Amino acid sequence: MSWVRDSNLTWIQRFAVRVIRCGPIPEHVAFIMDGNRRFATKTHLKSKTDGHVKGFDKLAEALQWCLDVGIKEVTVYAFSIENFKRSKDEVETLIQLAKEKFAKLMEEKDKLNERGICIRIVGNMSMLPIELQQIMAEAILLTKDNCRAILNVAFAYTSRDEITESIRSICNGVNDKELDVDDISEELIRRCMYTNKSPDPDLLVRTSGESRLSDFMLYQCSTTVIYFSETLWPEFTIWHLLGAIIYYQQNKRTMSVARKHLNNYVAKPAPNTDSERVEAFVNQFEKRRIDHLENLVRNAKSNRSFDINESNENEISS
Amino acid sequence: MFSGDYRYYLWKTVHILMFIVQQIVRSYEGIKSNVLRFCSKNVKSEKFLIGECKQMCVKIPKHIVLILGERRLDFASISNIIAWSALADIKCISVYDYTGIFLDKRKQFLKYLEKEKNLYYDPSSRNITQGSIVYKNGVRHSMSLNILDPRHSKFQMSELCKRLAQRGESTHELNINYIDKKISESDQYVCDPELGLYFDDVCCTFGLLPWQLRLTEFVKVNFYSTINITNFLDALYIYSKCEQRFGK
Repeated sequence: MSWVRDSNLTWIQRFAVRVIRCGPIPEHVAFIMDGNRRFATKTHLKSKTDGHVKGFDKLAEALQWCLDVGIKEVTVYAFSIENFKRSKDEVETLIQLAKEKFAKLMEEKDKLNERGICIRIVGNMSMLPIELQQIMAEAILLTKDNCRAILNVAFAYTSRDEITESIRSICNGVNDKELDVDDISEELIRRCMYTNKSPDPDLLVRTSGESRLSDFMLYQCSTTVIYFSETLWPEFTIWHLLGAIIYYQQNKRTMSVARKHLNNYVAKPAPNTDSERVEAFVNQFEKRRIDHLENLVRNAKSNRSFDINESNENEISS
Repeated sequence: MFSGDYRYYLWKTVHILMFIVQQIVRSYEGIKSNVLRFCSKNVKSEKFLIGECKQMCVKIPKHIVLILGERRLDFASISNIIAWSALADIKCISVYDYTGIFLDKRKQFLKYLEKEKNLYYDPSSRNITQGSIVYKNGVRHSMSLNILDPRHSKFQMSELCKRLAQRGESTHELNINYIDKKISESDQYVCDPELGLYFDDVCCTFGLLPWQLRLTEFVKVNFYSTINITNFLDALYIYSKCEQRFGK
């Protein structure tokens, strides 16, 4: 099933979308796509994996709805670090599914670039098999300059890990004299996160009736409208999305007021803070991340050419 | 132009209708719960109802955080929740107000708590906003009370980061468990809340405890003007039914 789809809305759905678009539309929406396995059990699918496949199909569909509605950025919680605790078979299947889907995504690179879709992976990629890291790195680098629509896939992600890694990068920066302790702020921690390029989500949707955040974007959610839906993710429809957006529209003013209050509590920069030093550090931090991705892609290409050479040699010798 | 206006008015109408429906539902639920409470007032005491709830619930949260939003709660509601929580053997109650108003009114509230509920607040030696609840007869209850404001937000993470960076130690040992340990050693430490009660129509963290909130169940408390025991127990029943999978 394809990542990039054409709009499949009926005329009544298109009309509802146009009505909803008269109000404020969230710029960034985050989804916790929960309920794939329960859907598989409920609908007597052959295996839980089929539930995950249905979940991916729904993701592709939901992304198109978001584009139809005018949502510019979407973050989806695809795989938590905690999910590594699942059975070995299920983890392997999920990783395999991710490999297939990202390989498919690379086949559709022309479509992605044509539509200006940027794909980012947020999470601790080093925990994943190297082949998956390489294909993810390829997808990120290939689409990094696109800006019409942004999809962040949270893979091997937890918020605690994200905060920890950000603090580690900052402490390394201080140890290497790239930063001063006085430069550290809430904002700097945010800028060293996996999700540093994205604004805080305006709306977070969690499906399947669960009412917790499960370690997802805890640092970024301070003024996010959180919408809990009873629907299982594969059963999610455009109407559920529109319901969530109406809920956001009803509460947008409350969030603006809260933002003002919370801004009063943001600590003022220390006198010794050097904004140029902070900017240089953040740029360097970003450069290192890109270099790492480029290395992954370079290694993948050299491995591929090695494999091709080896198979050619085998063919000649046989 | 005309069609655009037409859609806008339709959008506005949808929102107005939804607002009216919400208000009707809220009033109906409020009247219903007050009538039920009035009918059962002479039959079952609060203590009895809480005992019954404890027996029926599979689990009772150890730490509840009250997330105050735009809809202001009166002192009666908050002090009732504290008194009921004490009866339900809940170990910790935190009250978080992102505007900081509740923290400013702390002294008035604690006086109210003492006068109306015979519960005294004994601040900890480390932090004035954290302390224990003591009964009038001097018996120290094992429940603690935290009054939180947005300084218990991302600020705690930046302060921790500064402390770690100041040490100049290698970052090899820096992992989630290490940070968790360091946070728990802090004066401002608040343990992970299992249940977050919100009272507005909107669910939002308002920046509360970004490190500690990962497994918190958010439950809306439906009430009319002042929270009654049924509203509180309903939230405990909902929490009891929540099944956590811890990623599995």
